[in-house]
Amino acid sequence: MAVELQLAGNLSAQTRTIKMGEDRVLSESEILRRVKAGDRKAYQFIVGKYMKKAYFIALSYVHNHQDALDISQESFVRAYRRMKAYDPARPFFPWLYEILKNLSLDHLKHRQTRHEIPLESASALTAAPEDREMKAAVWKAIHSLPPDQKEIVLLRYFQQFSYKEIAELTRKPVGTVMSALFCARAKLKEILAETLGFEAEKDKRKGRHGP
Amino acid sequence: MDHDNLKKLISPYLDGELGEEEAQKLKEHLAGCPECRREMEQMQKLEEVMSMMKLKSPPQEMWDVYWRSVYNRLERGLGWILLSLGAIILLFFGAYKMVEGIIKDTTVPLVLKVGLIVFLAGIVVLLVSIVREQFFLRRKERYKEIEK
Repeated sequence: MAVELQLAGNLSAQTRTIKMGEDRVLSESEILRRVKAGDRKAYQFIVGKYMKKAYFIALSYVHNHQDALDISQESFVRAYRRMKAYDPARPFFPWLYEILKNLSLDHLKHRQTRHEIPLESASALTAAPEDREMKAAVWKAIHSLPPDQKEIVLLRYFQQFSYKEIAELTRKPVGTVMSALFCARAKLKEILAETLGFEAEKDKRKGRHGP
Repeated sequence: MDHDNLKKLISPYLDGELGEEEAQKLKEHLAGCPECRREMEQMQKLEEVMSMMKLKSPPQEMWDVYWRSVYNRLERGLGWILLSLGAIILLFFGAYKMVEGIIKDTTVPLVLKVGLIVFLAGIVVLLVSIVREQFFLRRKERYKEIEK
């Protein structure tokens, strides 16, 4: 008898269902225990649940559809192969995220040494022709941030994660996430002063106080 | 709370991550502090621009075949392992037969036989060394993961 298997997400409030030939509701940790025992059908459910998040996180790092697809799928493959080291009592996504982030960073490192597609191209963004230049400037500014701040900015702005979710993924206290975002914003404001028109304001103020 | 600390609350305030009490404190401070008001305006402008940064969505078909691709990669991994294992067995068997033939052949000069044995011993030593290094590296990597 095929009855629904239901699962509440750790990172999203959304719930999804899948038929698994079970007559009871399984929690995510129970499903992961099955994955650990080699159940690929259970893993299909986990992949379906997290594929979008994984793809978009990779895309925010590598800015290229094909590479993001490749990296996100590879992270699921590696996660599956390393299942033995995984503790099903802990949330799955932060664990996958660690693999995903390392793969993305490795990819960027290789790309840098091969001098391929510059990051500034911002081709992974939706953009009308008139604000393409501005978006490219913002994109470049984000990628000039120190790695820790950049990571948090990508999670906040591109994935719309809450402070608590970011803290869970990056294994940092919420207070650290908050202050990193504060510092990142201050830096972005400074780098983008001209693009955002702050430079003119500053000049005006200076002019006012000047002789 | 002093001016500097209140200024730092602007960022979480815009994210909707401040408690009611702190938000109230910040609002009161903003009313009397032109510098923080300016900071707030600039931050809002930054937020406006940042919220326009949207990643392109891939076509729906990509999600439809996503699991299939992951599954294929998992299968392919097993395929590679079996293929390499089979190739190693065949290679070793072939090499063994060839060496056996040469050693047993009385027409082959002794120098050539000794040379061949030394050559093979070298390959074995190198192989063992590479395997050991790989194993060691993998163990070290695993420790790195735990440290994080």
